[in-house]
Amino acid sequence: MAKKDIRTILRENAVTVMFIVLCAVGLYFSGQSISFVMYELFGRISRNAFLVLALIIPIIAGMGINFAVTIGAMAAQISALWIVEWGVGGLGGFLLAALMTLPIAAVFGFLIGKLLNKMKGQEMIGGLILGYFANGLYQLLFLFIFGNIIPLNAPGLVIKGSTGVANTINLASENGIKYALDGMLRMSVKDAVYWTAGIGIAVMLILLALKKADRKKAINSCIALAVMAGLITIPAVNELFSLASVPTVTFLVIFALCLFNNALLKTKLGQQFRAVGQNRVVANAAGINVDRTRIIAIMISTVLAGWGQLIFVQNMGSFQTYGAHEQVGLYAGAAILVGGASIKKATNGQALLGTILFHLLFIVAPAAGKNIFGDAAVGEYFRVFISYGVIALALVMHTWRGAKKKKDKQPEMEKA
Amino acid sequence: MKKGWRNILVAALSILGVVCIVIGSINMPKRTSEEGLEIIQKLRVRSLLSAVGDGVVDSYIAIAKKNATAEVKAKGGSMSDIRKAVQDAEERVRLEYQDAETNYLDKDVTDVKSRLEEFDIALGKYADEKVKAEKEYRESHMAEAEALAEKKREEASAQGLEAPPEETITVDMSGFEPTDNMIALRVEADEVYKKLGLALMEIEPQLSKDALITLQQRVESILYHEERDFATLYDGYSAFSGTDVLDDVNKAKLIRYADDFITVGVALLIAALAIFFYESIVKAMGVPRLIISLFFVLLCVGALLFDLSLPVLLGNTVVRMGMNSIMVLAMFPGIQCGISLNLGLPIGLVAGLLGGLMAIEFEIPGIWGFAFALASGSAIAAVAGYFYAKLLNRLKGSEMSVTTYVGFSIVSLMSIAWLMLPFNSLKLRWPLGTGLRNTIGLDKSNFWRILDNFLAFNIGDFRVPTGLLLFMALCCFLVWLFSRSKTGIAMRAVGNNRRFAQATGVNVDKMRTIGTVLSTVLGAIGILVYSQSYGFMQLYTAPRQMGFVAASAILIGGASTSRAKISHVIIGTFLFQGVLTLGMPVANELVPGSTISETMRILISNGIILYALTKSGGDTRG
Amino acid sequence: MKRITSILLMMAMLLSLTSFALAEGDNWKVAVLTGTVSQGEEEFRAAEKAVEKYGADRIVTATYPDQFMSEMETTVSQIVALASDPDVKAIVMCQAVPGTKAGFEKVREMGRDDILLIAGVAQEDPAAISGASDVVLYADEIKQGDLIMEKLAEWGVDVFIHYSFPRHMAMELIVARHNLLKENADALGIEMVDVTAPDPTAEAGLSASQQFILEDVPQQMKKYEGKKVGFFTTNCGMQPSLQTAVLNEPNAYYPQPCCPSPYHAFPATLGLELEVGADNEDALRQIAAKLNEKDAAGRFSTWPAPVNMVIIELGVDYAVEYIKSGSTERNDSEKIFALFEEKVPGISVAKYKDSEGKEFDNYYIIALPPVNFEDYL
Repeated sequence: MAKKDIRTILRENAVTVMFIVLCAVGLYFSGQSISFVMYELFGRISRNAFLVLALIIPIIAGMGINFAVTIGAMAAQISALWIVEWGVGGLGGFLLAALMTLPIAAVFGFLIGKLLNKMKGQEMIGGLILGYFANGLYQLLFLFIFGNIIPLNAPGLVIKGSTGVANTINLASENGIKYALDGMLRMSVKDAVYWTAGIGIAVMLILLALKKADRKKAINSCIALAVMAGLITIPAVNELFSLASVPTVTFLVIFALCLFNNALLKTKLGQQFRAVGQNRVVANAAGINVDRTRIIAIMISTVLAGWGQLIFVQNMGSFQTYGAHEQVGLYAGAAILVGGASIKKATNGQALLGTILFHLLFIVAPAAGKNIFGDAAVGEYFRVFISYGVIALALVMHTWRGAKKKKDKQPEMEKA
Repeated sequence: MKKGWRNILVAALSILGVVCIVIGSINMPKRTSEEGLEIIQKLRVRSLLSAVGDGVVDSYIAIAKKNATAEVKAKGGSMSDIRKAVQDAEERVRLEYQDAETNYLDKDVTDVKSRLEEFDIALGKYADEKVKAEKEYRESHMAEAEALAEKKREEASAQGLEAPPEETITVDMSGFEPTDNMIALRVEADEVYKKLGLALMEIEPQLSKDALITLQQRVESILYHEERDFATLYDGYSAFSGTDVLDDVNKAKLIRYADDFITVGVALLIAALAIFFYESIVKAMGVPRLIISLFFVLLCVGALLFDLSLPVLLGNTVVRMGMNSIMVLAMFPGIQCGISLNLGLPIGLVAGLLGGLMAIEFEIPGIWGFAFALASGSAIAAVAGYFYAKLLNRLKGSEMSVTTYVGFSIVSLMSIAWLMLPFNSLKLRWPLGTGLRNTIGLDKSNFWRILDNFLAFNIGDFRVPTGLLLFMALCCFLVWLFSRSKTGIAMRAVGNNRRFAQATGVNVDKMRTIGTVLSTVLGAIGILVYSQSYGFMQLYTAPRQMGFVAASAILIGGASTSRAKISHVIIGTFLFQGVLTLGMPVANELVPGSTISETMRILISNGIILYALTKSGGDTRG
Repeated sequence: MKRITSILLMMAMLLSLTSFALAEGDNWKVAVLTGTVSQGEEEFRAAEKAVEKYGADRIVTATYPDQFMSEMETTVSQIVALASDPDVKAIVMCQAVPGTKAGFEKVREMGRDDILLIAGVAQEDPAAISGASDVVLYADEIKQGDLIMEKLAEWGVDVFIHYSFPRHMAMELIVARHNLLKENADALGIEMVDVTAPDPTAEAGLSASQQFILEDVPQQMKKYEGKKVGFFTTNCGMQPSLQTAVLNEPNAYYPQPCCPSPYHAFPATLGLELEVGADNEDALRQIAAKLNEKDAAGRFSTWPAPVNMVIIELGVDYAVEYIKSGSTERNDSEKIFALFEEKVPGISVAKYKDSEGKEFDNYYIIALPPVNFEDYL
């Protein structure tokens, strides 16, 4: 690894640095305590990271930001409804819902894949219209089939005299699945860091002993982990995380997904994803069934997104029957872009970094905007302006950097 | 499909269509013939009798209900008390007259029939006279009303205010009194009604004189329909009393639905034509457009079958096409110059809104206000578009995701601006506190429907918004002309292949800038055209989604993200808006009283578009 | 490595900004969370009024996102952010958009049991929201089923047209109101017709719904020619269109907007040049004058005071009294009833009962008698 001066590092991580600066400025003006920000941040990561990670595979397969997440979320909500109807609560209920989501989302994913294959080059308009169409089907299902043709008996699911499933589905009742996953093995940040550091260092050492890891890399990682553990021991630092707590199992699930993504990409199928993503024609010539590969990518992503939505709603404790799925796609896509992914390349790290930065900004921006302008409404508009503006800017900077890399040999090609 | 089978199908459809049309055309004239009149008469007598029969009980119930309501109200009871009282009253009366059913089919009705005819004629005379008298009154008082309007205008200008523009002058009808003729005819009609009543009392023993008086209005409303065509009368009477009085129901139905036969026949012929000329149509329009067009035709047929007013619906479609077309047109230069779909359209939209706001703020009336709004909006849009283009020039190749977020971001930035901009007109500001309103109503003192109403005229029920269409045509023509100019051709070259264009010496960045600025300016004009037609200017989050709607329309019209033609703009806007405009009313008639109609509409229209897109075979025709 | 560097960098940043919001003391604050002006300015102005009344050091205001349906998480963090200030002893939220329930529950999980939680105009289902809040306040949507019909009967309307769409017809209160309207219409002999409008969240957005109303009202008037027809729609965005369309049809009647208030869509439709900060009485008079110009003063009605503003004012007053008195009774019905009566004489307040007759003890619904604009001429 060549030595780099600070300026190069700054430039290469311009988006990240910009976000950190913005967040810091926002934090200063928001007047919020860091412990609160950390509390919120941990909550948001546990809710969203899985969804964002679900986007990686279709990106690599060249299918862009996958709006199938919306449809995966619909599958999850169908499962969640039935869990409530059957009154299966707790972890069992959650697992059952995840199990149910699997076939439903897989079928949906299959159909979307088929459809998208038939309109290559028109994915944009196809995706838009598909979203509306799927929403129509969802409404048909929840308004006119469930509760009417297929009766529902659980209290609160159907409002007497109305046409379908109630507007809010409550998962926080005694038999609900609220915190089914988050509630397990919840521990303080300090403990979590110690555990991570301990296990991390142990794993590294074992790998090193088995000579499976690069020596320098392993040592660096060990040092980083040790530093983290050291930092958290300082009371002042620990104080920052006093409110936050770590839903260990959820984080482990997220970690497992990262491993899954990596492992999958190393298999033959993963290679095919890459090949198809890079060039469909070449991949086809190389004997890869392009259409099939794309369908598989979408199916995997849809199922994962469904599980991500289950993780989201088990944390929230309720969801809006007719609106909860709509919010999913937009911010997951934005987060992964902010993390440095393009519509062709994405990694676990980019997804996680994007989630952290994006949500950090969303936490501090409202209060900061309000305090800067002294008017709550202006603050809210300012937040949205900054949030979207920064996403746009991040994309501009990523593209710009990409273009610069290409022209590395041509010095100072300044334009405008 | 094999050629032979196809020809057979075409022949079958054509024959079926011709048969339908022939059946329809044979039966259609029967409506005004003896046969039709007889059917109507029979139904009418039956309706009258059942109206009087059930009507006696019903009218007693109605009276009881009214009394009960009044009683509870006098006591200061609430709505739930009323509900209960009314229910009790109805039950009571029904119980009382339980056994009072009469079978009318056995009765001799000749007397009633002739009396009824007399009454109908008398009533018709009176109604005609009333219409005539009202018309005369209006004409004779027109001068007065004009003078009044003139006076108002003078008063206004005397106070130094801007004269309000021409309004359609309405005559105050409150001074209208029945003419002698009318009164005489009315008395005559009442006389005839009395005779009719006597005839009725012979068959309906329970009928008392008092009941007859309360029933008069009801009888009149049953008999008298403003539209006296066969279909309305048939539907009205048969809905009231059923058709079992008729000897040959099928024959009557054939006459009633003759127009539907013709409609279906024409539809079948269109389908046959579409199949016959399949190749050449597909070549001209592409499969998706063909499917969506056929769906649109199907909706038109549906509208006719449900007796919706197709001219009105088509008129609405044309207005919607006009008001949305410029925004869709704004997508065109964007695609041509290679920035793909300009989802940053909100930049242009807010510029246009700003222009419109200024026109209202400075109180520039009428067409000049609109012109000022267009000019200032375009100027702002041009400046904003220039900087926007500079940004886009830096990220060639990934415009689409960026433009979306830039659009969102601008909408929020402008939301701050709407709160802070120093506009003073009270028409623009919030009723409480500071800042501009969310929805600003336009009126005749500024540019409300200034294009829609310019030289507008009616062909039957179909209203032609001449100004709007002319403006749309003008804009399309100018953009088309531009795209044919030297600059336009260079621009298209950039859109088609950037590297190739660069190699031939075209200044890529400059062309992209021109295209982006043009697109933004068209966005500004587009929102003003939209607002003047809708009658409101909507600020804050309203422009957020409009870019997507415009993009959908041009893509449905057949454009791709790198190629577009003016025809795509017009076809796309028409089909997208047409399916929307006709879809809802037809769906409402299809499943009345249930909101499932909206879900069906979403599913069917989006499903059709989706299906059409899958037929594009991965590429669109140019 | 790069990532680790940046994360470390971030941590360093955070370190340098060690917490400074460590104010303590017996200071109390009430937080008011409303929509922005583009959602509906009444709530926002009511929050400003509260600041004026109690001072900026006592009232904290904040807004939930404009796109609250898609940014539920932001709503939750706004609530949690307010609760993270130890001085905040009460949160008044109006409208309580989706996410309120989750946010309120998170407040409790943070250990802030001392905070009084008031939800106004709750959009989540009653059973869900009343469980998570201390007090819920709402306009009595169901009673509107009676009030609208009374008004229509007074006008002698023959036909009543109810515009809605599937998503709305799954909301408990809207459905209950609709059913009551139907019952009343049957009793009064008014023909009630359900017409479905395009959902504003469908493919062509709100503008398609607005345009539909503008086009459909004249058609309906033609269909029921010679009859008096009343119109009502369940969606806020469609109100300006409906008011305009009704204004132009001499036989059309408009009993009330979906959220009854003198400020709901009337200023836009009528182009009212209301003085900034005008009072309700004056606004009603101006509306009446404008309506009269088009011979429509006898065809329109609404409630005389903006309900959402009343709810916020009352919520804040109630919260302040709760804090000052140091009472432990969070849901003091008597006090709430008394405060309402004091604020708006003639108001009717009740506890919500669902269609199965279950009463919600902390869910209050209020109603005002509709105005007769002819009285304000």
